[in-house]
Amino acid sequence: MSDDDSDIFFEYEYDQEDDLDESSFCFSSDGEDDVMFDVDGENSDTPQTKISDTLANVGANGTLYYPWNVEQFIENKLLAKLDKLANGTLTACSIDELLIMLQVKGWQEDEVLNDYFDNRDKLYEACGLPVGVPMRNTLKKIKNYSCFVCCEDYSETYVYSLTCGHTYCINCYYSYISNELANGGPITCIEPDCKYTIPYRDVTDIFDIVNKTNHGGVTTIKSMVENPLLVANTKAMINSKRKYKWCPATDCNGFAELVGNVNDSVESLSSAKESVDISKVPIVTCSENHEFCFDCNYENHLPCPCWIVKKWIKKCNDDSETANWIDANTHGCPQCQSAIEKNGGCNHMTCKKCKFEFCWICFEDWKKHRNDYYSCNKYRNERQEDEQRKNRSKQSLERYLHFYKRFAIHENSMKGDLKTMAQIDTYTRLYMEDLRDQGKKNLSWNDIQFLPTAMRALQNGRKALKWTYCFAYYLGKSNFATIFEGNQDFLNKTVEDLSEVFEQIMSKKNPDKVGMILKNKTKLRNLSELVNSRKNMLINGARANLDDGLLWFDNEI
Amino acid sequence: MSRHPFHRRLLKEYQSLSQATLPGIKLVSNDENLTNFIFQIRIANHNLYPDYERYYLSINITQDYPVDCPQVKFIIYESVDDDKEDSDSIEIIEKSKIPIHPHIYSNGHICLNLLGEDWTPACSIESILLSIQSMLNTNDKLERPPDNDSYIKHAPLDPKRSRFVYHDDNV
Ligand SMILES: [Zn+2]
Ligand SMILES: [Zn+2]
Ligand SMILES: [Zn+2]
Ligand SMILES: [Zn+2]
Ligand SMILES: [Zn+2]
Ligand SMILES: [Zn+2]
Repeated sequence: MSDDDSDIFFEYEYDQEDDLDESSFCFSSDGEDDVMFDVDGENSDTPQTKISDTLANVGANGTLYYPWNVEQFIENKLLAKLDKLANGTLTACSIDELLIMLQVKGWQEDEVLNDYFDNRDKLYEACGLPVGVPMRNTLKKIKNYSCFVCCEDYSETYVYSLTCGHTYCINCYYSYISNELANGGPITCIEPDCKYTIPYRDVTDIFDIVNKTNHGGVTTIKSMVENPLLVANTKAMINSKRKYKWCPATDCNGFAELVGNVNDSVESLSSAKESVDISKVPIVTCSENHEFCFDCNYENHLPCPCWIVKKWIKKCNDDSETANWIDANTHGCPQCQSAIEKNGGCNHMTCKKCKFEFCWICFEDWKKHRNDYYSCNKYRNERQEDEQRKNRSKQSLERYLHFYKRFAIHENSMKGDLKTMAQIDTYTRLYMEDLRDQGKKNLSWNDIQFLPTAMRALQNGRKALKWTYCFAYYLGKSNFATIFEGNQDFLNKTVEDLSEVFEQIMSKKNPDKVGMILKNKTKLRNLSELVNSRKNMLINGARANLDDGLLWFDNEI
Repeated sequence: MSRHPFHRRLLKEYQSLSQATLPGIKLVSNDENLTNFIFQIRIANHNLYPDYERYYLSINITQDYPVDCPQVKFIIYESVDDDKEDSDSIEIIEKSKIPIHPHIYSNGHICLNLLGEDWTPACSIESILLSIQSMLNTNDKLERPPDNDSYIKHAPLDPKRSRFVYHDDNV
């Protein structure tokens, strides 16, 4: 099966595939180190860790972006600015002072520089730094201390104070800082109206002491990228600026940064409201290589455009169809309002609850129908229309349920796939560690590097498949819709085949799991290539046919 | 009922508050755990708030107090008038009012910096009471916040869950 390599739309796909070649696949984004399969250290310089200002990834629509996580961002963006000031123009300032100034000035190093040379004292005052006196922050252990905030009498405790000398116990400072972190801004002395700012290093020290003494922890905050203030500040920044978007994957602390004129690109994205040009969907990735849409912040939902996704999600949430279903099948009893479902054809109904006998067609007391049907027939036409309306809503419900069921099934299957793959990951890792411990080395990274690629293909294939049901639900009837359904079937089959191989590997009936992996190497490789190319074929086909007006979304649905 | 983690501090605050040393402020009731208080506030010599009017403030101490500020709001308090002459007379139930103020919504919620971004663990119930009393004392406008109608329609029960945009502080 040939793949249309020249298609610019999929440049990002290949781009990522390249990135991933030697790198590891991380299925659980729980911060597990991603050196699985790295037996020989051959993937020590994976391309995805090389992040520089000049090398941005290219997503769909030529969207330029950086894939980040919080630690990488602090390291490469924030601390780089600090470095520049500390080792260049502002060598007179301490790291603590520089960090506070940068944070107060929103990490605009130029502003820090300008304000510093403009009026150093004014800048220091605005930053809550001592002016005219040296910084005299103290964190010390003292005996017989009563803390004003918690009112505890300590025989011995650490106390903290800033240059102002307002002293409180370390526990109070710890909970105060922990609480204030949510705001992401600089944190000042506990004393009301005291403006002195707590420096980064002090936060690290306070946290380390409390963690050690109160929580028996031995972990200390080793590096700057783990500093609670920097992390909180970074998160607040990502939340507040339009050029950053968090990765929507569960438990992922990755995000993407749009490069270039963000206002323009964000504008152009949202202006494409009901556009059918799915090459405009800005697919980006986080540091963990989770694909997501920068516009609507859902996972990669191709072949659907964002507005269809929003419509679909809303529909699924609204539950309005269930209400229609009840309407189509039941009426309330005209006397006691309890729900009655009609199964047979007879319109003479008796309420099970209150025994009221009534006519299903006109809702009138059945007694009135004994002699003449005038009152009932009189409304018959209207009632017929009502029945027709109900049939229509019933049909639309059945149609929706058909697509929704498949959408939901694949969503669940994605979770099932993830579970199987996590098992394989653990299993393989343990197996390799075992070999290494025994001094044997008969399986290397090269032998199983196809595995992460296959897993990624399965996840992405299943995801695309899932979204084809949303796509198909809104699709207007045409010959090309039939072709689309054909592509959908193709993809469906290969995805299930690939999924099955993984399941067989982990099956209880199969004791030699690694042997099975190696035995199925070619099969897994071929199937994952097939999944990728069928997925691309489906999305490319959908894009082209939407472009040419051969496929369209039915507004009536 | 479990004790509040900062029970010692609450006890200390309670002891000083129950001695009623703040003019115009009276502790009306509190629970055993010292987490729910009702205070009565009286404003003297003010042309907007008559001397006979009693306002009631409910203060609920959250689990994270004093790191987290308490939930504070004016309430409509029903008190039985016990000044009756003979025991057979009908009980007169008096309902207190929510003071009219440009920072106090008609549902009793108060827009005050101290109850939001200005709160620190070194602030106390007493600082809240004093600052609300002074907020009433210095007021000269008999009006509700401009967004009162829309606010009370959508306001959460707990005022702490509202994100107030602090009105200008000069009122
Ligand atoms: Zn303390
Ligand atoms: Zn201070
Ligand atoms: Zn992610
Ligand atoms: Zn989207
Ligand atoms: Zn009935
Ligand atoms: Zn009838």
